Amino acid sequence: MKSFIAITKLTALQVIKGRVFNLSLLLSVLLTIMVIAFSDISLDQNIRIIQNFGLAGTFLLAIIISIVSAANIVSSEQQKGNIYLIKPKPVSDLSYVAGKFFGLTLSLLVIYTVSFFILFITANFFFELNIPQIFIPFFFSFFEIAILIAVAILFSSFSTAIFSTLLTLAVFVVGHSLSLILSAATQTGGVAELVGKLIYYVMPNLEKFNLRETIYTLPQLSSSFYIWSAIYALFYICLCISLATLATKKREW
Amino acid sequence: MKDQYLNILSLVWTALILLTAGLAQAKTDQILHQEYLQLNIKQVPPTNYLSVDNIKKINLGFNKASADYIWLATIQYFGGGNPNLPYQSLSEMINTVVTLDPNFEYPYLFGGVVLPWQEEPQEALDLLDAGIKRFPNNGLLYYYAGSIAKLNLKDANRAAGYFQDSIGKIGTPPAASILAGVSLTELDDRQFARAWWEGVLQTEENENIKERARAWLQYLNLVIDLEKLISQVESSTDTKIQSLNDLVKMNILKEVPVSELGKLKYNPQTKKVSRILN
Repeated sequence: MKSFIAITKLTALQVIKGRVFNLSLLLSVLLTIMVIAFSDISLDQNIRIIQNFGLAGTFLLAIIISIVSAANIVSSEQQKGNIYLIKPKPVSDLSYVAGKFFGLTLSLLVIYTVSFFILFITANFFFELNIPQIFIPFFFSFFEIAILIAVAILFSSFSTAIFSTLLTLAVFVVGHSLSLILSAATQTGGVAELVGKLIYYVMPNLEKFNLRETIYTLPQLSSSFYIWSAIYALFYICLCISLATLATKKREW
Repeated sequence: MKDQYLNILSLVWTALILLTAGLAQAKTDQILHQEYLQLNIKQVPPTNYLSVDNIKKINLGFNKASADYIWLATIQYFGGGNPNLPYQSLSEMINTVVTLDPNFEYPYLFGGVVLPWQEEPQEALDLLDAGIKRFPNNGLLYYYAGSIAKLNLKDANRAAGYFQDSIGKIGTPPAASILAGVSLTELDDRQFARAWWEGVLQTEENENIKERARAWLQYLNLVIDLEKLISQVESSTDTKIQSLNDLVKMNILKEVPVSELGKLKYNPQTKKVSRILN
């Protein structure tokens, strides 16, 4: 447990104290300026543009940072030689992988929250935004970020940084297109339908956490939806961490 | 010393590059603008956006942000040229926005105002109908739809329906009750129109609207009385009345009555009395 906490703390501090955090702050400021400027040419649709572009922008920023950071996490440890300092110590593979995951997730939570508040608090000075309405999709999309971090760590535990990044990006795209894949496969029928169904159930369905759209059409969403979606996210994260632990165990350093 | 010199040189070099790039940018913009003006275009060319289905397939669930992006592009497209020219893609772009996000209220209104000027009244009405389904309490949607039906499609029946439905909805201009009455007055059902005007008189608190309603009611009563009189005269005397002056010549009326809305005329083909529009 001690080693797990130490790795979590170290990973979180590495990200927050590093260039990524400063870069994300800079990008958040630029995003804020851009979104407010865009809202100004929208024929009085400022609030809407700020809410939608703001949510999409901060989310994409967090997704890119999380995928790149998580995909690099194991290989950079190897390149820097840190792994050779950790491995001889009594640190279990699970503590190592879980520590890396929680450290990254924690730091991404900080980055995402800071960029969210930079944008929406600034915009709130100019326009009366409905912060609680934006906060639910913001909070829920963090499950998606956590899943992608877990997936990226899984890929990074057995492949190179670039390959892990590309694979995680592919999971992100597929995760948002699963219903499309399923309907296309069902229309084709035969083996394609089976493969489509397999992909549909095996790949993470990231649309479940996309409340950016649902919150407007279904404002009174039942609490069981939130609970089941959270269970789904936790299950998928546990699966990825378990597989990553196995891969790390089998990997020769 | 040498380092300092190199630093200054690199700064000057960077500034020079930026200046040249800026100049080149401005020059190309100017050339494009001149070429555009020389084209003597008859219509603003279409944009090449993907279909809604394809946008939905590739936008990874960012439907609202995509709708907003195309909305900004629509404004740029419409605001980028001569407002009197037809904009080929305008209707398609607005439809794309509301298909991506049906809860985006403003484009329905925007399309309802702009598309009739682009000679696309039916597209505007279809868009407003879709908006009414989504926002049944927005009175402006009904109001614009009624205006298009009345002014562009010359469909008084449909216009009357929209104007009537708009009463009591959020944002409906006070004139809606008057326009509903005007559209109803143009229809064959004079009694219904009279009842409408009486209703407006009884319920309306705005004095200007009441005054207009009183004038329309006086006109309508006059029209109903004259049509009734002409019918009686024709059946009792076996003569065909050709104009209201015939009634004066036959000493039935002292003079041709004038309504508060203007002079009246009689059409022997339709057997209807109506006001003379300037």
